[in-house]
Amino acid sequence: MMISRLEMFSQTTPTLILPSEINGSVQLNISAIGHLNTEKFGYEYLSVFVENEGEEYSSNAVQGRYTIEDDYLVFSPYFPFEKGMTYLVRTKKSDVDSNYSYEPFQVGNKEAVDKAQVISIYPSANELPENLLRFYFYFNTPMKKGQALKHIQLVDAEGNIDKHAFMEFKQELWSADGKRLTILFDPGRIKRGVSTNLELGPALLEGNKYQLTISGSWQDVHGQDLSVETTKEFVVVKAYRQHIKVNELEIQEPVANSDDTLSIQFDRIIDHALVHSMIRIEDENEMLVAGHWETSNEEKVVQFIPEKNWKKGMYRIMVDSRLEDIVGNNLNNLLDQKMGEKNSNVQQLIRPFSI
Amino acid sequence: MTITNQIRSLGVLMFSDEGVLFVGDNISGTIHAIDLTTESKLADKFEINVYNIDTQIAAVLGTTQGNIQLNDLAVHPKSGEVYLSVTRGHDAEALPALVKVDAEGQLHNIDLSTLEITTQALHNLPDHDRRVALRGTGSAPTEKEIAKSKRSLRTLSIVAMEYHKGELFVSGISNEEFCSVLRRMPYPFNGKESISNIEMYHIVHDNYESRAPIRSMLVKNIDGIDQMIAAYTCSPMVLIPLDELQGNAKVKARTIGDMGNGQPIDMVPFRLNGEEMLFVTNNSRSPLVIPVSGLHNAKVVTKKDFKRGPKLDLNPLMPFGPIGKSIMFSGASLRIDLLNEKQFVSLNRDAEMGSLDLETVFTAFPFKMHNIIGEKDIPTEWA
Repeated sequence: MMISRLEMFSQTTPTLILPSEINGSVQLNISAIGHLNTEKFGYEYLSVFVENEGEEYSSNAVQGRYTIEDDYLVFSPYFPFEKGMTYLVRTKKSDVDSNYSYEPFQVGNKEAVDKAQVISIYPSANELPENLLRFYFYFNTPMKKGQALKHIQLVDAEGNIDKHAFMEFKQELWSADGKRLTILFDPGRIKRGVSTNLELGPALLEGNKYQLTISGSWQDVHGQDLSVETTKEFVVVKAYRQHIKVNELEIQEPVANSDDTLSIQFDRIIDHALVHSMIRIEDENEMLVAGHWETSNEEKVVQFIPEKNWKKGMYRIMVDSRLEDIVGNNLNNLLDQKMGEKNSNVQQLIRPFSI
Repeated sequence: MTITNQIRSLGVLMFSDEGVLFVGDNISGTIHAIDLTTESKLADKFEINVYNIDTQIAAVLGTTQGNIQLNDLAVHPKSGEVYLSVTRGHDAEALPALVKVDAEGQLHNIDLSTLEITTQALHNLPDHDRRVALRGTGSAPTEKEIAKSKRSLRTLSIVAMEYHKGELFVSGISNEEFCSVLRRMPYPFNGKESISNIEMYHIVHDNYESRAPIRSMLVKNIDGIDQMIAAYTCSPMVLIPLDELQGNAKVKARTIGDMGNGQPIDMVPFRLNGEEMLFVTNNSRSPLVIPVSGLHNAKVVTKKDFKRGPKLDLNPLMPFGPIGKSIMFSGASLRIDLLNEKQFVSLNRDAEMGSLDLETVFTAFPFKMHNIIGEKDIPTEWA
């Protein structure tokens, strides 16, 4: 069967190519039009408009450069397209006097690509001590700063919101990539006998149930909101009032010539963020054993996953004295120290083991 | 082109008489001189009125109004076209843009990669992580007061600029203890600058101050010598002879007046009935029209001239000195420049609607009728 030239053309070459990335361009096949003065007519044949609130499109076209590449008129905007924003492309597919056609498009679908969401909240346990010091919130995308305490709330079993539970800082505690936020309970509420503790009482009371909520209206830096409220429910248990005691840790030692995980069982929940920098393993030549740390069993177990198989020999687990549990007690000090109670003063504690 | 990679932000704008556009770049800590001297003269007089200009600029830059911040405005001395410095996007993803509004009110993104740009790096700049102090008027700081306290002092590196006889003057703060500085550098740039620390007597605060930056300034010949007329927040007006801005001097400015509480924005020279005037806008009060003649032989005041204690607006002494008269204005001017002999062009926050509009107003009567309804707006049956 004969295929007409036109049909063949329409099957093999798309007329309009829309961008899939923010730095992409919009391309219109102009082989049917022939020569085109881009400076004079580029805009007339191909232009892009921004959708403002609702369905209304701006009367100002997005500005950029027009070039000709093979059979295509190419429009590259001066500034990258915004992810998830709706644009309208207006084209003429034949001569200058023909009618415009319109087609909306989005670059990088908001829903699929980078939908803002809470990935995890630490501590992950549902039973938390009365003197809990901090929560960590992990997001998959950098969030808008300066509004965390507008969106994060502590609610008790009766539905009362405790507006003074958390410390308000001039600068919120964000990781460099803007994806991890640390929130501290007001230490004045935790420390016994301090004025806010006496006036307002502790934020958390043993035996009670609480909800931590993160509102769905919080936006990431791209302006997309979390859209769903995230809730963490927990019950408050007895306060931690002891130092971390390294000598009482249960250690599950690996077997020689294996890549077994080395596990350390703590008697409490450990600050998961400090684990990576505050514990290391040295071999008998005082060389650092390569590998990485993870937490499990609601951060009561800390695990070392070695890069290579274990060799026979002596090893030492070195725990920096600044390692903290989730109430801020480290190896030397308690956050809420009683008057006259003595601190120890060590740099690090060492637990030897051999394989 | 590589040059545009050096441009991290576009803030304060100042044209030389020939059409070189100086732009303050607080983030990179530099001044860029963009050569726009080949632009030619357009029609003698035209009016520019662009309503919802932030939304319109956003559309040209492929985004929406919430992602746009307009930083400054300046009129090209030859073409009379209006240039606006813009920030597109937020935080680490923010990009600088320069937008031109032509005589027909059409918007054009200026492709910086096609222009000749020279850059001068500034020295002794505040660190990016030093912040504005937290203070407020209520019992607890408000959301906006907290937001202000998160602002980097680096953003105050370049607050105002003035070009005068082949030299650029830049006010702002440095990384020193007495950080209010006035920088002076030749153009074409040669990498050199003098940095003078400026101290002045602040009548309202009853204090000698040396940290707050000069908010707006310009050079005039006063009492036979070239002097910088400078305005500060809350709002002293001082004179600084240019001769004293040499080396890295510590300079005592001459306080001659105080406009009352508020923060000056722009100081625009113009002529009214042949007389030299200054039009000084403020973010908290009506603009002032100040005759330059009143600055000649002005009494220079010090602490000795006043009773001790702060003096707010309602103090009988305030406002003080030859600071002219306040004048009715259309809404609030956020940035203003002289468009032609008879008109200003101003970025206005509309008093009724809150919209951001670029409007042209007469220098003698800087007002737009859409903001009021008075006697003459009510038609009579016999009209």
